[in-house]
Formats: sequence, structure tokens, C-alpha cells
Amino acid sequence: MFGRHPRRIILPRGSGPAARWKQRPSQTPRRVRVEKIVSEAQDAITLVLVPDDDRPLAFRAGQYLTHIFEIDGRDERRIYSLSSAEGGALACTIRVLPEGRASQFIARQLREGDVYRVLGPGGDFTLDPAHQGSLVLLGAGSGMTPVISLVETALASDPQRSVRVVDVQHDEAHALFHARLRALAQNHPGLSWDSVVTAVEGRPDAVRLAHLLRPAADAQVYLCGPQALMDAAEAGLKEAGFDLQHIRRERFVAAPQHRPRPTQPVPIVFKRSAHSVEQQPGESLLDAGLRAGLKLEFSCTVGGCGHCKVRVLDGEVLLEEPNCLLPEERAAGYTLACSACATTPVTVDA
Amino acid sequence: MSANIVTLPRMLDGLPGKAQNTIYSALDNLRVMTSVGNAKVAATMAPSVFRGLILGVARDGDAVQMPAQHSTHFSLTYGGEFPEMYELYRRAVANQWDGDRDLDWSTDVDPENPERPVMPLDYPPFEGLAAKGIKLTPKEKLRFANDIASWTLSQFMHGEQGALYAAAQVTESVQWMDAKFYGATQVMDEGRHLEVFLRYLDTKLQKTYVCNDNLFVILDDLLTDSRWDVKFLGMQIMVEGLALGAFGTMYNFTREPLLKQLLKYVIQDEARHVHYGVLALREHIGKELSPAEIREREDWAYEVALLMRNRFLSHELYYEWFEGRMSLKDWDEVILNAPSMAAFRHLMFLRLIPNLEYIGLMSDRIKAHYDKAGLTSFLGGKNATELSGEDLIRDIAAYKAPTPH
Ligand SMILES: Cc1cc2nc3c(=O)[nH]c(=O)nc-3n(C[C@H](O)[C@H](O)[C@H](O)COP(=O)(O)OP(=O)(O)OC[C@H]3O[C@@H](n4cnc5c(N)ncnc54)[C@H](O)[C@@H]3O)c2cc1C
Ligand code: FES
Ligand SMILES: [Fe+2]
Ligand SMILES: [Fe+2]
Repeated sequence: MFGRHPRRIILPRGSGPAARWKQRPSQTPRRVRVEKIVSEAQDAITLVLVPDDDRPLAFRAGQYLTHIFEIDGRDERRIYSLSSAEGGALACTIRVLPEGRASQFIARQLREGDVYRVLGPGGDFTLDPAHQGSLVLLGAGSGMTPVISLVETALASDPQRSVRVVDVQHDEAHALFHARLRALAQNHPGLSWDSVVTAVEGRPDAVRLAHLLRPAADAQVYLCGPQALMDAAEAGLKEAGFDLQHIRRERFVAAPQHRPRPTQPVPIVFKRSAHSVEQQPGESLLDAGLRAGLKLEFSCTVGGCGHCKVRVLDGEVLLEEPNCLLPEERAAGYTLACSACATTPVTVDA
Repeated sequence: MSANIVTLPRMLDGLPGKAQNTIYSALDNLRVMTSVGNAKVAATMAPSVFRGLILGVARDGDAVQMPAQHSTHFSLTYGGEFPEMYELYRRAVANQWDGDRDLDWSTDVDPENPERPVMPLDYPPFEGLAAKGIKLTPKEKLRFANDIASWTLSQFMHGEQGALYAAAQVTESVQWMDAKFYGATQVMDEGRHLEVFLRYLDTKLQKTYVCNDNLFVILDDLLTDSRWDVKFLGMQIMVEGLALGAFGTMYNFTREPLLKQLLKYVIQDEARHVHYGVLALREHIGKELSPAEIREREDWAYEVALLMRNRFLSHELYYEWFEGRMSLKDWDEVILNAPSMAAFRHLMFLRLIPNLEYIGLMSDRIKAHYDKAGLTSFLGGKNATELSGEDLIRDIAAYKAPTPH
């Protein structure tokens, strides 16, 4: 939609591949310039970004950037998935929430030409190059953002591919990317597309979702939307006999609210790395560990991806809420290093 | 063609920069094909040139299918002894290194550290760029040097991927049993080379460039050629020779200890690979090929040598950095005249020419061509059978690149 970069120069490697060597891309942010602000639908804005140094920032379809906005004098980090096809311009699409701190800032204050920082790309809600079968994608609300990127990318590399999209929206005015889907459907007979409007027909249940998605046995399924809807889709597919191993999910959890952190240094023992580190005021467990040169896993740095999950063996931590940790993980003593800080001396299993 | 060349600069003058570049690269690609004197050679290379340069298939998608037509030589009697090759096989087995254990991956690589730069500032052709009106700030210079490092190592990695498949194909096709033993170790070696370059790029430099179109043409050509000796010649002599030149240059320039050690290991393996290549080809060319077939191989090797000398011009860096600021033609000129390129060419041909001579692809007829290209000064040098891995490292380290000052 925003024109492809005429030539691929940098290979999009994302953050996944290096994981086998227990090393993730550095946390160095890059500066991006807002080239264009597009009204995408009611309460939805697309930011078209260009790296401020005009050099490419390669990403895989389905990945996100962590955006760092300075709002009222403090850094607010938010994850927004890329809505452009692989190889295309950087574009993120944001749903404007009534009380949303970052999304309201984007809607009211961000201007074309403004420069801010991003981290990433990150995330593994991506196409599997080894999988050639059909694709089935469910996107609800702003969950359509990575979905449109995946669909356009898959069809660009194989125009005949069988791709099914189910899009769940509150109403037609809020619906995202319908024009792009329509244009795709015209040129790609393998693409089929259903839209559910919840204002009219209510939320689809498991049976209905399974019917709408109806993946073939060789399909790879992508789900992106509210937790409850993804759970319903998964239950429906399981009931229909689909192999759950072929389902990928992306959850758009809200970013944690800032909480006051200790004003004194607190010692942390990273047990497996056999390292002791003093957590400085304001730091998270992750900040402290990375500063000491430890190879800790992370990706989004905003409590949204779960890559930085660690178990607390001893001591007390303060974990900011909300975040993506599941109740069973909390019960087993896990926390998120990027969004937690030690409040007493702690030992973590990392 | 000649009329075009005369009027070309004038024709280009009135056009916007982007269009000038497009026409220049199209004609330049055409020149690759029309410069190939031997029609048969041109015909076998054409599909790869078309896929690589015209379609640019290496610039899109996740993979390219390369249908191969060679046949597997399955031995029923396990004959085919070749004592020198068996000896190489034993040496290869004994000298396996472990890319995870034997390299210190905990080394903190900071490309901007002036004490241990991955690519020092005396490598990039800043003076040539300045002569074309491109002035970089000190910070941009550092970044550009790092990008050259990433670009170069990315091409090494793509080349290693090609080497891995070529080694596997050649192991299938070769007829001597001892060569099959040896080939198995080379497959392992190339897999490990691919592993360490990928790991270095992913975890240390964190920037990987696409496969250069011209490198892709060579790899595609030899992986799809049905004749095993052409694969062999292409991979074991030409591409390995290119790799030795390029690895050696990087080895000499870099001050980053992990990369230096990594390259040292890889160079020592490659020395063995070239050794194997010349043993097999000398035997094959001397005993099996007709004069016409030898002539065709000679021409092919010559074309590839020129392609390697003239066309690895890092266009990816041009498009990333200078598109719109200078023409592609000017960029090519800067790179061809860069001192670091001279070092690379020297180290490459220092090994390549004696090897071609040793295997019997340096008749007086083709010598005249190499002479015109200014490459005969390397004749009579030591070939791969006379050089160990340590010799190579010593020669590489002894070669001091001419500095621009
Ligand atoms: C992997 C991932 C990808 C994402 N991609 C996108 C995308 O492409 N597009 C997009 O629009 N969004 C995306 N998000 C969500 C996005 O990162 C933000 O969470 C979202 O924009 C809200 O930010 P905000 O600052 O506007 O709202 P916030 O101020 O953070 O508030 C978010 C919502 O939570 C409510 N809330 C506030 N405090 C709490 C609390 N303590 N507990 C529970 N709820 C609370 C608020 O009322 C508000 O409705 C993604 C999230 C993740 C994890
Ligand atoms: S890094 Fe993503 S949750 Fe902590
Ligand atoms: Fe190799
Ligand atoms: Fe090799």
C-alpha cells in the first residue's frame, strides 16, 4: 500500500534466529521520523515511519516494534505491530483507546515530522518459510494489524496460495483494512474472507469460529485478538479435530502501569549465571542483568511477549500490571524481568 | 554495442539519477554476457545470469529452487583409491574444530570500539568517495566501516551456503572412493563455516545483507551445472580462491579478536579444500578430457575469474548509502580503485593462477588473455599441494596492503 522499497538490501532476521545462541539483538533504540499520519478507520491511525538516518530497518511480516514516546516527561513504551507487507515501508496501525495514555498521545499530539525512538523489530508471529500449505488467519479489532501484513506478504510470494481471513470488528466504521483485503481478493482467487460485525451479530462463539475458520489439515492458523476470543477459537478448532500445534497466537496485552520503584540499590543474585548485581533505583531486573553483561532473554521490554520470563527463587519483586503472564505461571513463581524490580534482596533462576 | 558506448554518457546526462543507474546496470549486465568470448560458455551461464542479474531472484522471497542435473556415482565395488586424497581425509578428520567450543563467543564485540574495530577506518575508500564529492562525518565513517564489515561477512556466509551444497553434490558425483571420504569432511567443514558466520552476524554485528547478485550468478551456475568437474572447478578452485582472497584481506585488516580467530580456522580448512580440488582436477583434466573440453573449461574459468575480479562491487552498500548522492558508475569506479580491493585481488590471484596452471588450464592461448588482464605475474607461484594452512596464514599476514597515504 505504501509502495515497496525497490530493492531488498538487509535481510529481515527479526529476533528469533539468534535465540539458539542465547543472544538477542541489542537494546539500542533507533530513531524514526513520522513521515505520514493516516486515518485508517474510526479511532484507528496508521503511522508511516522512516528511520531517521534513512537506512533500512528490516522486519518480517507479523513482527512489531516497541515504540518509546516521551509523554509528560517520562518514557512510555508501547508495542505496535507492523501493518505493512514485508519489504514495504514501516507502518504501524494504532487503535485509539478512550483512556489510552499512548494512543491518545499519538492521536492528539504526534505530528508528521516528529522523531522518536523504537526498539526491535521483535516477535515470532511470523510466516514459517518451511510451511507451504494453506493459511488461516483470525484478526479481531486491532489484531488485524499483523494479519494484513502476513496476508499481503504470503500472497506476494505465492499469488496462488490458499489463504483464509476471518475479521472480527465491532462495526463497519471501525473495521480495518477492508479496502486492502478487497483489492487482494480481486487478484487472488485463493483468498477467501469473512467479516463478523459484533454490533450486529454479537461475539462469535467457539462453534461459529471453528466454522468460519475451517482450516484444512495442512493449514497454519494465526490468531490475534482478545484472549477470550482466541481461547474460543482454539476450543472450537480442538473440538473440530484440528492439531493445536499448528496454531500461533499473538496477544495484545495492555502495557503495565508505572509503579514507584525502590529508591535504594537492591542486590540480585542471578543463580544460573553465577552473578550478583546491584539493581539501581529505577531499574528493572532485566535492566540490571543486561547492564552486568548477562545474556538474558527478552524482546518487547514492555511485559507483552513473555520472552523475559524468570522464576524468583527467593525474595520479593514488584511486577507492574497488566502484563502477559498467565495465572499458572504466576502460581509457579514466575515474573517478567522487563516489568519487575526487586523490592528486597532476591535470587532469580537465570 | 560500440556506438552505444560512445553515446551513452551523453544519453545519460539528461536523465534523472535513478534512470541513469537503471540504464547503466542494464548495459553493465549485458556486458557480462557479451564479454564471454566462448559461445558455449555464454550459453551455459545465461540462465544463471538471467535469474541473478535480470530477475534479481536473490533479492526477494525466502528461498530459491535450483534444480540440479548431476548424477550420483554409486560405487558397487568400492574401488578408486587415491592415496593423497585418503591422506587429506585423515588430516581433515584429525583437525576438526568445534565452532561452539573453540571460539570465545563471550567476546564483547563493539564495532565502534576504536581499540578493536571489526573493520578499521583504513579499509573503506574514503578518499575515493571524497573525490566524488561524498564527505562523511567521523560518525558516519565508523558506521560505514561497520556496514562494510557486515556486507563482507554476509557475502562470506552466502558463499559458504553455496559451498555446503556444492561439496555435497561433488561428493555424490566424484568417482574415487577416497574422494568420497574426503568430500564428507568438506561437507562438515562448510556446514561449520556457515554456522560460525551466521552466528557472528546474528549475535555480534546484528546486520545481514542480501546475497550479492553477481555472487548469486556464480553459485547458481555451478550448483545447476550437470558436469561434476565444472562444479568442482567452480567451487574448489574459483570460489575457494575468491574466498581465500577475501578471508585473507579481512583477516589482515580486522582487529577484533573473535573474528580473527574464526577466520584463521576457516582459512585453514579452505586450504585443504583447494588442495583436494587441484588433486582431483589435475587427474581428471589430464586423463579424461578432450582438447575441446579443456578449452571450454579454460574459458569458463577465465570468465569466472574476471567476474570475480570486476564485479563484487558491493552495490548493496551503494543503494543503502549513496543512491541519489552519486551515480552507480562513479561508485563502481571508487570501489575498483580502492586499496582494500587491490589487496583482495592480490591475495585471490596469488593462489588462483598457480592452481589453474597446476591443473592444466593455463594453455598459451588463455595465458594471452590473462596477460591482457594483467594477471600473469602470479604464474609460477606455489600451488595448493605445496602449501599448508599455516603457510597460507603466514603469506596472508605477510602481505601488506598498499595504504592510500
Ligand atoms: C505483541 C503486542 C502487539 C500489539 N500490537 C498492537 C497494534 O498493532 N495496534 C494496537 O492498537 N495495539 C497493539 N498492542 C497494544 C498496545 O501495545 C497498547 O497496549 C495499547 O495501544 C494501549 O496503550 P495506551 O497507552 O493507549 O493505553 P493504556 O494507557 O496503556 O491503557 C490500556 C487500556 O487498559 C486499561 N487499563 C489501564 N490500567 C489498567 C490496569 N491496571 N489493568 C487493566 N487494564 C488497565 C485502560 O483503561 C485502557 O483501556 C499490542 C500489544 C502487544 C503486547
Ligand atoms: S521482554 Fe517481552 S515481556 Fe518482558
Ligand atoms: Fe568454507
Ligand atoms: Fe571450502
